[in-house]
Amino acid sequence: MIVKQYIQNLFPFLLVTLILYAIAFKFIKQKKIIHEIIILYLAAFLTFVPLTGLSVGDYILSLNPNYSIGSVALVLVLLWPKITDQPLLSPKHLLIFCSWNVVFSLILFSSSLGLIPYDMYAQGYHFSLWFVFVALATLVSIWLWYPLSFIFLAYIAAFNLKLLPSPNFFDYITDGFLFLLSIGVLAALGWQARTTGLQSSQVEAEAQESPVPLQE
Amino acid sequence: MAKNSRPVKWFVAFAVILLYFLPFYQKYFSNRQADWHDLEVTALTPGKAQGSDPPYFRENFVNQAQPGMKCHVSSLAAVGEARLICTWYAGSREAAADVAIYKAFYDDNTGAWTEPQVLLDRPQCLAELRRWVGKLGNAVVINDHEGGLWLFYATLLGGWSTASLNYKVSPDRGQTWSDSRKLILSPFFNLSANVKNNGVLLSRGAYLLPVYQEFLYKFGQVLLLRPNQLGLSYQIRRMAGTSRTLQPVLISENERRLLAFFRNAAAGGKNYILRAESQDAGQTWSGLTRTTLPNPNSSFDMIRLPGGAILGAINHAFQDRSDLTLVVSRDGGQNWRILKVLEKSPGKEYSYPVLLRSRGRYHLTYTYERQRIKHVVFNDAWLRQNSQ
Repeated sequence: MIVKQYIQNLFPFLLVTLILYAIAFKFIKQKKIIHEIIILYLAAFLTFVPLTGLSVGDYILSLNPNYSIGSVALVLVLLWPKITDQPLLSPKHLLIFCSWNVVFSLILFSSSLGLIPYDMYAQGYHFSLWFVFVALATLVSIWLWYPLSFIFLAYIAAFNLKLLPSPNFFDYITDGFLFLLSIGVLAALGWQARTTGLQSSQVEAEAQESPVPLQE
Repeated sequence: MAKNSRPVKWFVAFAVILLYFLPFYQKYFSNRQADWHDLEVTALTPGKAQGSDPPYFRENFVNQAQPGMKCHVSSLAAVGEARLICTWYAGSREAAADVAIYKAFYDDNTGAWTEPQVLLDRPQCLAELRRWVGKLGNAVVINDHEGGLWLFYATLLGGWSTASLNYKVSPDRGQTWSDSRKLILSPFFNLSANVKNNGVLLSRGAYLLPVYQEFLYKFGQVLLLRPNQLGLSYQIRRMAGTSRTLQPVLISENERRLLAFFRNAAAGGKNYILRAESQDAGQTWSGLTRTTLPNPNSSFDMIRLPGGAILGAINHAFQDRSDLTLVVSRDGGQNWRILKVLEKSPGKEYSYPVLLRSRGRYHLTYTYERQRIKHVVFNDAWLRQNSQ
């Protein structure tokens, strides 16, 4: 029970840390270890200490009481480069992960909100063909040696350990927040690719027009 | 891929297979009692009709009207010998921030209700759940097999379509209650789940609770609940279609067969109460059929009578909730006839009835002009007298 409560608070802590990092390093140009310690301390304070009866973490959990393993993973993936200056997932794998989240969520939410007649959510409480499907997806990602396979592995490991409040396997894979965040990340990746594409085509065009070779 | 990563891959793949084998093993070999397939409806017949008793009919009020207070959605449960608990919500208006859930106890020997007490208000709910709660909503009380009394209630972030369900349990027949716990019943921001009618007891300590969702589409769902040491294990399934059905009422036919009747939430026109059947204790449901009972998009309740007939308390109208009528069906809810009109005052509201049979008497509570909860008691002899 206590472990469950800590795991539940992991997501709000990571999200608050991500937001504080994003805000702080917009203004601070040179990152120092003391800045990072202050951010982590402040994030922990905001997440766990109730100020107006509830903490910021409690408010985040009020919007969505069950943040999936996918949500924890995605926020960690976004936070990691801000702390270590090293990406946890390459843009290609991030694209695959977010696409998986969006597609899986669309099917699941359509079903659970009654947009399609099939009741998929009811199949997540006990072993069903959907478990086989996710297991196969995990095996494929392992075979391709994608780092994503560890996220896929975490779904079932966390479900077996009952680490989240929900008893449904699908709630370990996705949730509403992950769906929206994945769409946001996909949009950002798309925008980035477009901008990079425009820049590189501009450079190519300039190179073609230029009488002097750009590089020797 | 480096050649030396191959053994690691095989190891990880093997770990995946093992991890997925665990739920497979639990479903098919170790945890058979958790399987819905093996559950049966218990307490099928509500006891024998009291043949020799004279007709009995009595009306009173659970609470008194208070200026500026609206009350709605009562629920009833037996708590020990000759005692009932009634819960309802009251506040300045429906879904207002000051809405609280109230309780009162009825003594069948004296025929009196205790003074209403607040069972749960918003600040207490917020402190127990450690979550922000906009408003409190519908509440239902239900007994389990072990003498535990469960309260399921809705909390709202905004409108009714943002409702989610929570529960409390009382070990001492409604005197004291555990802290609230939230149920996770939808993968999309836990939207939405609400409750109105009582459940059906199943074997192995399990019970079914009819619930419904209102986010985007309106449809009935059934919740399989099983109390355990950690609180409650549960799973949710959709009932018939997504045809604007709300607030299902469950009636048991035999050990596996259940009937469900739905409030018809279709807009405008002449709408009727809808009906569906399950042959597997609520796991799967047939399509919807229309009954002959009109429904003005309003809640109702039904109960099985000792002879096998079904007694219903409904608003027998297409437009409004200005009448409250007892109806009876002797063919599993296909055909109905009016037994007694209990209320009829144009422009007033008599709604959200709840029926309970306890110690050979029927107890009916309902919202009376949104000011009070009315309590009506009658027996089998009174029903027979009115069905002639």
